[in-house]
Amino acid sequence: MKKFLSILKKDALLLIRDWPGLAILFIMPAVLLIIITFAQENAIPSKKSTFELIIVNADSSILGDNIVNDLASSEYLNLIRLNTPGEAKKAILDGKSQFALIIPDSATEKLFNLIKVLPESKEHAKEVSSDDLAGITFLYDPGLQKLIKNVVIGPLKTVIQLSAAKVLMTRYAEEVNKSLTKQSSDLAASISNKDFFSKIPDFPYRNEVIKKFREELEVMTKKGSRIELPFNPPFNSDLIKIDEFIAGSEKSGFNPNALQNNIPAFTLFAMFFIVIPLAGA
Amino acid sequence: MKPVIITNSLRKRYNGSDIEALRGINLTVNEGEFFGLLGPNAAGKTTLTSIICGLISATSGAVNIFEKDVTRSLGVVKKHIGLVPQEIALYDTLSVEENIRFFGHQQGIHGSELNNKTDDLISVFSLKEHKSKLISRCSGGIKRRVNLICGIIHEPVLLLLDEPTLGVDTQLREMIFEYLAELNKKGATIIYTTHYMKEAELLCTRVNIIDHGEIIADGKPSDLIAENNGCTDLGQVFIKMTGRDLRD
Repeated sequence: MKKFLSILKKDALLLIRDWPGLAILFIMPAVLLIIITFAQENAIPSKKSTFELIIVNADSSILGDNIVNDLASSEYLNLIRLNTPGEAKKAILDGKSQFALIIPDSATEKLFNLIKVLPESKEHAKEVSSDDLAGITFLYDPGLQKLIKNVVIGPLKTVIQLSAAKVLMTRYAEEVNKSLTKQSSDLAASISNKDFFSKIPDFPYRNEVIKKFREELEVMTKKGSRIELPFNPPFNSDLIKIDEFIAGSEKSGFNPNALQNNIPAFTLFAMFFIVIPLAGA
Repeated sequence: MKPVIITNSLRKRYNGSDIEALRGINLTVNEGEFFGLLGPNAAGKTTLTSIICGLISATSGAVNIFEKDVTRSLGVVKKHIGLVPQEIALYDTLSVEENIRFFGHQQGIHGSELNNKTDDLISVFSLKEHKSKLISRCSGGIKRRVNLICGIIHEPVLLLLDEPTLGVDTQLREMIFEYLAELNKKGATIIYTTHYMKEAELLCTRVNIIDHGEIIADGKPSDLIAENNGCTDLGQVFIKMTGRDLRD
């Protein structure tokens, strides 16, 4: 034990008195740690809780506005509104954001045209070609890691699809309501035809019943029948509650930053600590 | 006299070498001898002393020290051996005193005993004013003295010195001779390798001359001189036996 302690003391003295060795031992891995952390900080920003998304909405109609409103309501996004795709591209290259969403001016029109393309029955089903669809574009930073890009754009695509579905279903319901209203008007008109009532056999209070029936039919026709789609309240609030947890932690929402995530840099630090004193010995 | 070291047909071939460094060495060193191991460069002196100390292993053959096989009882044997190597084997960034104390600890000397021995040896070798100096800042002579102290601090009964006076001045050399002679008188067995024939002639009670891995002469210096006609000193005997060719 005493021999071991004397070796410890000897090595401690050797280490303390070797200033160049100590500098290499501490400063080099510290510099490496800082460089790697800053490099990763750029790819995985750890202090910010939101990230900027550039939006160019040339549509200025229902679909474009819905998409912008749905994205704006997100607590994770900070929207930067620009006018042209050229401005968006420049902003990305200048580092203002790593992503941009371009909504073309024909987006709503193309979406609504799908209702005409959609079949009335399965027997009349037609294939929807890509030219029929509204083309929304994502621009992203060329230096971005593919995984990061996919992780960000994937959920955004889902939000856009949901917005489009909501707009489309609302429009579809209006079309169906129009059709139903016309159908009920036609039905009322045909019932109001004298030939229809003349076929009813005579019975007590026949005329009063027919008059009352006509009045009720008129009221119903004016009222119209409508499909009320339950879009508004449920689509403006969460349909599912989603929480975030780190596996193994009871804390909710704890997010290690780039320094804490930097296992490779700390490993290099440890390697320097072990290898350099041994090299000296 | 009781033999302290006996080697039996000791051979050593280094990996990748066609040449044997030692070719069947049969060596005996008796208790209390001041034994000189002489030879030209690359003769096998350092190889032989390294095998005796257990620093390297032999290819074949046996080494017994204090009647114990070195390969099996190295730990027991090492406690009684002191080695003063040719190279300075000290820590540059430790002081004179710190080096001595460290090697004393490694030899199992602690506490007040270590303090006393350290102080005595520092005093004997006139190192008092240098004891706090880092080895890197000491002269060659001081380093040699400290190198020697670290090998003898535990008062070994068998002391191996590999050219201990290399690069030292006359005054220090004389001091080392006196000290070693004193140690030998107290009963230590000393194996001394050197290129300086005058040293061997002066100090050694018996010498072996080794060349090309074989022992070519064994005896007292005076006997070897007498046996070789025309030779008046050990140096001439050495040249006569090993030749004038330069070695590696």
